[in-house]
Amino acid sequence: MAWKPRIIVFTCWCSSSGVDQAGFEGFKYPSNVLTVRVPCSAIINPSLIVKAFEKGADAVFITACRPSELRRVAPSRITEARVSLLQRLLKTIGVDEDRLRILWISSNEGGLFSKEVTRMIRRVEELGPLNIEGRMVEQV
Amino acid sequence: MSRMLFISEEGLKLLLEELVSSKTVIAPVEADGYFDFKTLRHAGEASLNYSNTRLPPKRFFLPQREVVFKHGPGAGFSQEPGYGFEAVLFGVRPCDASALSILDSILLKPPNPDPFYESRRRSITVVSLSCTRPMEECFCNVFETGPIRGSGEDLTLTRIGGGFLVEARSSKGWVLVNGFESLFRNADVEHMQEYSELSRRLTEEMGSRVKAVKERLVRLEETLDEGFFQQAAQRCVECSLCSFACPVCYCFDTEDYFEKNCYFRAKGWDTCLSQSFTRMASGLDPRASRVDRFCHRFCHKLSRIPLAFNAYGCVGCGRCVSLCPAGIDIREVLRRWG
Amino acid sequence: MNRSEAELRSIARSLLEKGVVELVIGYESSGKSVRPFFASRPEEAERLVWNPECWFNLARYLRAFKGRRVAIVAKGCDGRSVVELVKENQVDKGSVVVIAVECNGVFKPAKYGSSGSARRVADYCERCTTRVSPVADYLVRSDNQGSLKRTSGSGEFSKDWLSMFQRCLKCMACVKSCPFCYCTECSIEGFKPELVHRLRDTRELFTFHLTRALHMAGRCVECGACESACPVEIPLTRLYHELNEWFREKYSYIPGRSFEEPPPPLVFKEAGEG
Repeated sequence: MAWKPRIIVFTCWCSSSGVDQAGFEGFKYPSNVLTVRVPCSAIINPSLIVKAFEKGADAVFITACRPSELRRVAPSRITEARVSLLQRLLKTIGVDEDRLRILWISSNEGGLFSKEVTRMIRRVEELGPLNIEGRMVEQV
Repeated sequence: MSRMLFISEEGLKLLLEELVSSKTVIAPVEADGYFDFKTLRHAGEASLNYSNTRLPPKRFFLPQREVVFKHGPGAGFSQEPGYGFEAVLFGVRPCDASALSILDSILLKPPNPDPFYESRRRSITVVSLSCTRPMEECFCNVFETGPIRGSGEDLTLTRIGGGFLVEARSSKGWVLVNGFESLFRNADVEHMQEYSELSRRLTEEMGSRVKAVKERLVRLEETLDEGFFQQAAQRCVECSLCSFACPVCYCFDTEDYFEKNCYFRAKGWDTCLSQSFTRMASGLDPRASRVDRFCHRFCHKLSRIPLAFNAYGCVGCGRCVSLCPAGIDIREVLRRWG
Repeated sequence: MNRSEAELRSIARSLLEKGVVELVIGYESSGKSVRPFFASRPEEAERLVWNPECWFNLARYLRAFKGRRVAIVAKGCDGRSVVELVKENQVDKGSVVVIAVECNGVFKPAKYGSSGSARRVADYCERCTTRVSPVADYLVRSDNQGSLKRTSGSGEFSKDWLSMFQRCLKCMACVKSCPFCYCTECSIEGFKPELVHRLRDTRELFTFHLTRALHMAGRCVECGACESACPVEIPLTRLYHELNEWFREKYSYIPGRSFEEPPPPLVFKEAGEG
């Protein structure tokens, strides 16, 4: 059985409608994808993303509202900054940045979500399993 | 002292090779200028030309984290087994080996011995290697845990010209010797002379360092000089380096958690210097201040453990002295109260 | 005793004699090495030393003295931590007297059982940007103007971070030696069960170190105290340096450089201002 990447997708409240829409339109996720809906992408503590990788996620995607579509720009920009910082950290320790991505999805952009997430999952398939747990073993 | 034997350098190499091929052998391995106990993949990895390992071999007897039991649906209740297989721990310094006999007095005391520690102690044969180059921080003389012989090992090796003197210290030690009879022979007069000379030289050298009488340390409690400890405690940053690097420190914490549909209880290392060490669920904390916790460490090791278990809570290895980021030095306590 | 030490002692003695401060936080000799020292009487000023063994960041102790008048001996990086701590409301500048000492680099302490190789300047000193603290009530110049001899090839650096994290004992020496790790309930010590267990779990060391790095980003002054305190010599400062680079690039921000610059995470700039 071919290896399927395990992906966690954090969706903010609004973009989750877009994600749901993709599901309604018959989008077949090419992988083991778990979606976690949060009220706002800015509530995502970067440590939790790190924890997801530790626990076995091969990639973490965040769907969020475009800054221009928000009444207050700040939340998405905060998410953007955090993800950028975490990508730099992951890159430093040898984890490819493509394993952590933000997708700007509106509540009616199910099609965009399907297209983007498929593309990103293909990339993760290329990268292979991350397997943090397997690589962090007790030194005997 | 039982009959002393001798094994040549070549003989020891052969012994190690044989052991590695048939058992798990744990010995000091060098990496980046430091030495740490690791399971040998081949005999050549072992490094016997070292002062001491960065960390004591405590973790093979008291792991930093071990699952005590687990309980899951369908799986029922299971208590994790001990070490599970036999091993030879090779190249332990006498001080670190003595720590094991101290832990025996504390953790194996009837009527409730620690079953995990006991099973590991039973399945691991400890071979010690006498010191020939004590380090600046060492003070084993105060607690009589070296530099030639410790008190917790099964076999003591002392390097002299051409090979090693061998002293079997327990039945497990004799089993090891008898298993490789051809490699050993009786020590002769020259060997014993060299041994006496080495012993004399090292004892003299160690004795000139920290001069303290360990029996006097019990008065720590009554004559606790608040000023001295206040000053030193100010620097303490309450990490856990001294407790983790100490071959004797055994205080533990337990943790219950849920993972993959199974309930686990784990037990592992803790430090009495941590702010939450004595904090209770009610919020009450008998050692709320840093000075209290700081004083406790020394009182426990040097006065309370001796009173309760007839053994001293320190072996004079010097790791805490070297590793403390704030330069806390137990030798100052020894000089002043010992 | 060198000239800068003499000057330092004289400043400290005077501050204590005049009652300007309760304590001078500095370093004293301890065997072949050096350790932190709290001088509370004028005659104790004679015990103060200043040399390349002084790796510990004394600003770590300031949090215990909030509100009390103390003086602190500060290298360049230590001084930057004072500035940053003031910005984070952990230190009241009005009650701290900074005795800045010009630093040429420090040695990393030799750990127990090392095979006694020659002492080398800490590699984090090679990335030093501030030899003198940006905040200084007194300034003690160095005796020799040149930096400590930096040996070529500061040791091979394997980028295998995951292997290095596995060596970690979770002794918390890095956390407890850091001026910026002042949270009373540290999230990576295990008080928050959702992040890591209290007892060391090898897998969780990944989360431990990455979380610490994220919490240090943009605040760390790269003093190297964490790295020097570490018993297994994990090169933490290098990791935090990379994240500080991110702040330099995105926000032109360097922690502790000035009192006026607000830390980017605390001040959010609307679209258009970065």
